[in-house]
Amino acid sequence: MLVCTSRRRGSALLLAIFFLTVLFFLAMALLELLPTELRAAQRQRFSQAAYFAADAGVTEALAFLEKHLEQELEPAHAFTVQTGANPHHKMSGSLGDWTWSLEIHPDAETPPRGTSTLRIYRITSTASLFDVPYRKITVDAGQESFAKYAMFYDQGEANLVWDVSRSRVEGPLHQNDVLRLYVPGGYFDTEGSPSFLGPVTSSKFAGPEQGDGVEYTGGGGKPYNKSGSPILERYQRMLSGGREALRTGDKTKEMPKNSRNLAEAAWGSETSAPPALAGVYLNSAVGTGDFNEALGGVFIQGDVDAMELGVSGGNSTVTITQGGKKSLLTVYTEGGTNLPAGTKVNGQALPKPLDIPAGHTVLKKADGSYEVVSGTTNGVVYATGTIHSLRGVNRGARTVAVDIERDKEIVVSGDLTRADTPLGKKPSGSRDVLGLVGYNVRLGRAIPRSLNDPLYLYCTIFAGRKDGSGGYAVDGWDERWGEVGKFIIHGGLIEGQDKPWGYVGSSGFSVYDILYDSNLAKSPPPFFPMLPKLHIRSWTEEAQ
Amino acid sequence: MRPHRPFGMTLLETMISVALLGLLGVILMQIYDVSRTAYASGTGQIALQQKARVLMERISPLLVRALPPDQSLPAILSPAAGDAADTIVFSVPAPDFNPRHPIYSQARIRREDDRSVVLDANTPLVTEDDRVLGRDIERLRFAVVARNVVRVTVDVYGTARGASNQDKVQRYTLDGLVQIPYYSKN
Repeated sequence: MLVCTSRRRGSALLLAIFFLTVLFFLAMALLELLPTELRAAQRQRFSQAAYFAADAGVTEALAFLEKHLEQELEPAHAFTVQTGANPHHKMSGSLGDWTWSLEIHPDAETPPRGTSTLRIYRITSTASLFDVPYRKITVDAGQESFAKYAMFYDQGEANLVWDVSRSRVEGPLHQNDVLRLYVPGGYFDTEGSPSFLGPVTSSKFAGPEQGDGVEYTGGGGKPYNKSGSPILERYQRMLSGGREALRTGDKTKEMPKNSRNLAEAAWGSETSAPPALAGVYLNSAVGTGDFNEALGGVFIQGDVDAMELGVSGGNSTVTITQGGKKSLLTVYTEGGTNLPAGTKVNGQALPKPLDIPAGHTVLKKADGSYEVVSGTTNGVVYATGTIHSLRGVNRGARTVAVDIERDKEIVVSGDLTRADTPLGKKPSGSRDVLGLVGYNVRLGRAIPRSLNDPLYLYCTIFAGRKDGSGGYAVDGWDERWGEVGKFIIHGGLIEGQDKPWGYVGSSGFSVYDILYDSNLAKSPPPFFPMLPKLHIRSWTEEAQ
Repeated sequence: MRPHRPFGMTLLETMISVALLGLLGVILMQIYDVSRTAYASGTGQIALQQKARVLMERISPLLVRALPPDQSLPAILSPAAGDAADTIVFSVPAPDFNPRHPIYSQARIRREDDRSVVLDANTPLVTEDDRVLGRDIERLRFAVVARNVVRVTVDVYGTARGASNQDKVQRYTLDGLVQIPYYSKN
């Protein structure tokens, strides 16, 4: 039998107790640390995964909408709920264990709720894990219009280049063609403000493969080294956004082939055909008030000899001359008017004077009779023929357009200014935006031109069409003037074919400034040509 | 029958055992002190990490709302690209935002002298008083890495009761990149 004779058993116990105490403290510390770390790591992982799932939903929704717009299909026709007070579309999908579900809601003016070609949607995407929502992203996305560009070219002639030392483009610039930049000798060694203040994109590459895809000419060299690595300070010299602001190989932005949607907007109906007889027309339908309600804008059949935009008593006017006879359109927004007894209104002579309050549109026709409709029209003035002279002061959002499919033109014959902006100042709002849409938009020969008293064009100009050679031009070759003219555009210039505007160094308009009006991107002129692309206007993320 | 050995220890045995026990006690106290320090330091570090993470989680959703006031300007108005500062100014949708006629306004997150981080009042994101996003923040840096990426660096300091009851300063730096979705979607 073994008998322990040691008398030191107590100290072993003591030791064990001490070590156990120490281990207990260490374990406690670890126990405290581990779950906190685990929770933190898991929360981080959850947060990331939830974001990616909700973001996947937003991307899917944008792709759904843009696919329809690219194919010129109305997205609302594919909506889950197309009719009723709350038409919307529902989609869902999964990303691993995560699921996303989203709803697309058009705003009040977007089809099917409204008729605006500037479509605005609110997308709400929620990411869930096992049906428990974790993250919600709410996005407002609006369709982009060509008015977002400070300058746009569909095709450029190979011998036309941007001189980076003389050009100054304040907003986004895009070319569906190769971007050709002329860099004069020593340009990169000089100080100065950059030429391009907004993003510059082009759809085609220039060789060689290395570099940035831009075709550089001139003695100033290239902004990248022999191995193709960018020299960042050189890009900063050219572009205020540096290398990141230049992107070649961008998606081609197709110009529209025709201006039918503008014709439909002006007539206000897709189903009924506008009159074939030359004249100025307001389409209307029976409404709830005393007068028929305006359906669209102003539809003009035939060529226009002259069109003058104006303001009378704070109300917007458009004087249209056709065949030597004048029609006067007045949109009463600031105050009304009255017509005396005996005046022929809407086909009948007035038995007594008629008060017309604000919120009505009155067309005094060439024959002296009146047409009165309720509403202020949608701002579109469309002519099937050429507008041979356009000038004046614009009030209200307006687009003046002609048939671009049949090569019709708009000839500017004087200043085009805005009622909300003093001459020479930059526009600060979007109330009086003006867009011109023609196959060619030209500065007419008869405009007096001078350097000190420049021609002001407060508008964004769309000139050309897909696969056409239309564009912007200056009819300025006339030696008798003997001086060089200057024009200033406060807006943007979108051209089908980039070609010489005039004859530099002669007596035409060879000096110009194109000053970008950023309000046009957010609030383009009504029914201005659109791109099949949605642009994020707000982005909000919320943890659920 | 063998005679019993007398109970008890000799003085020498007692002294040795007391000395040994004393030595053991000192060692164990040291170990205890180290483990207590480790515990305090660990929990202190966790508290700092929490503080930094909470601040980052509050700043990120604010920054992802940034949108440029127009397409020729950046969404982050200050600091300039490539620069870093303890204040960030960015453009966000204005109050009562209407996507059809969008107007953008400015928001600002800054670190105050009292070591708090606040979102400025009277911006679209907070309309009444300044909103405090975090306190006891020793250093906050916003660096614009690219026009669509902001690096946010949070430095927090704290004290933990260390060995011999000495306060030990602890530091934790959290570095995070916030990507602004506007640029990746447009």
